[in-house]
Amino acid sequence: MAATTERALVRHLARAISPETEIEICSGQQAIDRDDALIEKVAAFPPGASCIRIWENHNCLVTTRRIARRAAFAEAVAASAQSGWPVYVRSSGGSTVIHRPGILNISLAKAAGADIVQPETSYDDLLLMLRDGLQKLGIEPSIGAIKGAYCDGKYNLCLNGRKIAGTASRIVRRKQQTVYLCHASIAVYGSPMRDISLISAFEQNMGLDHIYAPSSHTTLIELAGF
Amino acid sequence: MTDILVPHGQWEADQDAALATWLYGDGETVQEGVTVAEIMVEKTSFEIPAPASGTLSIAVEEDAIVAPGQVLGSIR
Repeated sequence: MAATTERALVRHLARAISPETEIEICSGQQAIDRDDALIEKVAAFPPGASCIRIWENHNCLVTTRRIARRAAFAEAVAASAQSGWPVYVRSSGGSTVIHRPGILNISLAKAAGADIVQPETSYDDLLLMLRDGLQKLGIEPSIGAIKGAYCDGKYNLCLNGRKIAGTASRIVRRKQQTVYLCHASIAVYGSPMRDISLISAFEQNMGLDHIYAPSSHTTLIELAGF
Repeated sequence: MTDILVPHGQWEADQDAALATWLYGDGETVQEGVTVAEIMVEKTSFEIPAPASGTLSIAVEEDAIVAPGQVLGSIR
């Protein structure tokens, strides 16, 4: 059970990012699929329109379609589910990540009209929103890759050289316009070491031998001194 | 026969793009417009739609690096 301070920080961060957006508490594949529904919803909007979703998931691993096509996927999913961590599949990029209470997800979908959207551009609005939100809490994150982090990428949010949020995006064409969704998972509290252990066990069951460093990850509670 | 091509101009020329996954198997029937494959650039995914209805023939394996204009497969 999380401490009152930890839950308060989740709510405080969500409000700092988007004061008018309630946190959705979700579970199952449905929680992941709502991001796809968000893209389809925004596709019907005029260029420039956007929708944000702030959500927190029950315990699960979330992986990509590419990994879901591996030969040993079904066995690895069964083993993870047996340990209390079901596995769901998302349509954005990256690799396997963890969702649980204490990891706050933010999804931002935007309609871009007839413009071509480059991968970098798909991250801009959400990263700006997250940086602004964190700055309101007195936190000044940097953006960049972190060696040894799981689901690493050049648009991680980092504190003191450790990853606190991973990001991924998806760019599609719908109804004559480009629509994109950028998603971030911010580690507010919890144990990165346990997260890595769960992800590593799942990946090893599929024959993947990625090595992750617990020291590459942190949480807001751990590093920002709340 | 209609080729399935890697689109031009969707990402910078110096960025690596990989054929992340085929969502249908070789020889499967697909309908025009459905997403048959995904390309990954950094951690951004792009959908590749079927340019026609018919039988999918795969020419590029998953995880291969691909370039704009390259033929990924075809619809027969």
